[in-house]
Amino acid sequence: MLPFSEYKVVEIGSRIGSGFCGKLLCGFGAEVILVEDTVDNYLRHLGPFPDVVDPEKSGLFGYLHAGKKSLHVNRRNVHELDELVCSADILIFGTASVYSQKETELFDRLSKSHNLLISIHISPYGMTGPYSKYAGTELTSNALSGITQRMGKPGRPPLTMPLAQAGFQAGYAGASGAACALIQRDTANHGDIVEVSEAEAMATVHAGYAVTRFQRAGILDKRAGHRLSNLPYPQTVLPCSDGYVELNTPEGSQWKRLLQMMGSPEWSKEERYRSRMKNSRSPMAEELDNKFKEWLKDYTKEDFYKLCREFEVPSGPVRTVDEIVKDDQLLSRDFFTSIRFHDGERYLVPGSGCSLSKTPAKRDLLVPRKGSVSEQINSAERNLLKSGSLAKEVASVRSSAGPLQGLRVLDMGWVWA
Amino acid sequence: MGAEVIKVESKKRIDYMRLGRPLIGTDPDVEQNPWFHAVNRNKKSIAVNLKSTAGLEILKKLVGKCDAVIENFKPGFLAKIGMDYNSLSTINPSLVMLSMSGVGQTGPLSDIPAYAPFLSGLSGLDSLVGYPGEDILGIQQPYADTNAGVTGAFGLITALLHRKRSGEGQHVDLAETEAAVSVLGEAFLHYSMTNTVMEPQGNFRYGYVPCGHYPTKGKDAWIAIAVESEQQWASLCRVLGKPDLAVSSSFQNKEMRNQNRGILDQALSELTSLRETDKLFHALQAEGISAMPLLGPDDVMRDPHFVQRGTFIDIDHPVLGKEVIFGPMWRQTTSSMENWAHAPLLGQHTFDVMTDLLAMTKTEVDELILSEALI
Repeated sequence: MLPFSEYKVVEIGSRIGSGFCGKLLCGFGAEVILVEDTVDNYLRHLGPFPDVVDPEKSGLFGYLHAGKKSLHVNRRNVHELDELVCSADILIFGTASVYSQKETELFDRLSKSHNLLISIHISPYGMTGPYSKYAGTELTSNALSGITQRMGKPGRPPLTMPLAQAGFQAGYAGASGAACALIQRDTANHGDIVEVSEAEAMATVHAGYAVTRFQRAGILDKRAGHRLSNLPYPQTVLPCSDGYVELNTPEGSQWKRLLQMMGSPEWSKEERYRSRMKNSRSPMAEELDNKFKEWLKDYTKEDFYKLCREFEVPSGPVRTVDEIVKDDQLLSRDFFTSIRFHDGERYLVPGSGCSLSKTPAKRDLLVPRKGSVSEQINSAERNLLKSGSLAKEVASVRSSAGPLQGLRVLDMGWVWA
Repeated sequence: MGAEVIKVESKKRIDYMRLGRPLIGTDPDVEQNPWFHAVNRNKKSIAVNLKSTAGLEILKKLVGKCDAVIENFKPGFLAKIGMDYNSLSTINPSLVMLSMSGVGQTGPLSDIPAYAPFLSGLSGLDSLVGYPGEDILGIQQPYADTNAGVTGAFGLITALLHRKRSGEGQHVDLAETEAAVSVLGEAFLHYSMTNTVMEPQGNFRYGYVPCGHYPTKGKDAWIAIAVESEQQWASLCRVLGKPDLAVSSSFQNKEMRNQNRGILDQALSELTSLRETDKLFHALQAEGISAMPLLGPDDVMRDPHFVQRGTFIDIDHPVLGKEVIFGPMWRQTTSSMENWAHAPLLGQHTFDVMTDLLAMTKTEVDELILSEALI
């Protein structure tokens, strides 16, 4: 049995956040039914595609939805949706970029289907607040979170996070919230609404530290191109003979070992390079970058990495995807898996972000064709989870205790983790 | 989310995040790092010396009273002191243990020293950040760390759910690189489907054009704009006072705008730079266009949306006074989440935890402090 085995999930929406949330629950055992309307799921058109554009071969759709069942439902047929959600333990609801009144009403109705239902609402800005009805995308969620202002070169447009990080983080939040609500449901005997704002997920966990640092310490992290500002030099990406390396020595002893690794160059003994904080700012940082660049010209990424391991310096290569798929460490841990399409083609994908020793995530999952299980799910199979139970506002059981109250955790972790 | 989290620390081995320049006075002080306060809000702190045999025995007893353990020591270290999952699960068979490391508990490189920037390079995150066609810049955020925290929390809670249903404990092995790679799925599919390596996309996102960050009036002020439809494109040009731009031959449809992205961005930048960020933001949103000011850490705390949602919370810290901490990553309607506590002082709860959980007397605790087991 896997952690979410025997739980039925209905997923509505075509956001990356809701798709990833469903993927996580599905990977750990849930039966996830993806509702697809007459209009194609937006992600089916995003690709990448192996050759021509084909909604049945979208890579991103496949990554997010492999292992799920696709059910064709006309969203205007409210009774069909009602019936489906009545049989579910969890509803995942990802709203489109424009938060329309119809969507609000649909979620409001479905989330009240029965009193044990756990409804996960994922949207760019959340269900409340002045921007809740505003249009949103990955780009704007990151912008609001505060994370974007710190990426890119000074004087140039800031850079957003790569790919769809706000969506992925929202997916983790939704799936974790679902697990918390299920733990609570066992004893409290009520469902819940888990509300996730993509922007807030990024603002709290991923950009929150910058806010707290600024508020109390007055430290304003600004974008510094290939370097991280306000920390001792070096935290920087520099070119080498066949690509780039990440140079990073947070501790003084590691900096000393890095210099030893370079053969203790004469310049490193000069008084002016003594303060690593001063070294991290202009013009010292550029000066030092140039010295390292000159030295790195003679090293490949892998040569550099080998030296770093020998000298116990926590620096290494900036790997590209083609290199990562051949990485010995990842291969030895059997990290990668595949997704299968209906034509039998398999494509390599990253495995689960964490490995559970007794309940590992499912692998090599099949990407559903649109509406592929519509015929198999009929009314008879849609047994009502709590037949006759009265839907009630989950807000009415609000308490100050969190869903994990009663659990005790011994945290021996250090620093961030 | 309501769990009682007891942080194990020691004056003999200060958490790196407690260090830093003092904000009050000039002497080093382990209670003055706002970073530490943000990450450790709501926890308890006990001071236990892991180099002491008595200290280790205390921890083992505590493990018997806990549902879960989190650790991020170098792989192999806990086995040496009898505190690894195999040892602890004999004390508490239903224990869930989350081990967080750079590249995992197993494999040929499991013992390498690892920090977030290095792991961002190793996982491919860095390779995807930069302006198209220019040098790689790298992510330059501790994102690999925070992403590992989020992924680890999901793994831990999922394992706790399994335990609740089956009674079975287990070990969760979180490799920071794997957690980072797993949020780059699209790049890996791009490679496995097309045999080409994805390069930095800058601010371009498929399906949206224009899509980017554009300057507005003021110092380093920017607005994010993402246009999805022809109707939105026409509205954008109208709001910017240049309706003709929408039908100009270079930009008249999505394909043309994609082909001419460089000059499109330039033309838009000239127009947006004349506008005040907030006014433009609301004007574009009124037309249904995804737009948002780029907030800095100073703006985020004041932003009306976050203020109304209570995203950041004011709290009193006994040493630093009023400070802000960040709220939950997600909300649950049945929980009001009102009870926020400041990050603990080092060892603040040692006495309470020893007496309440391990039924020690005051004399026993004092003796253990004197012998440097509880320090």
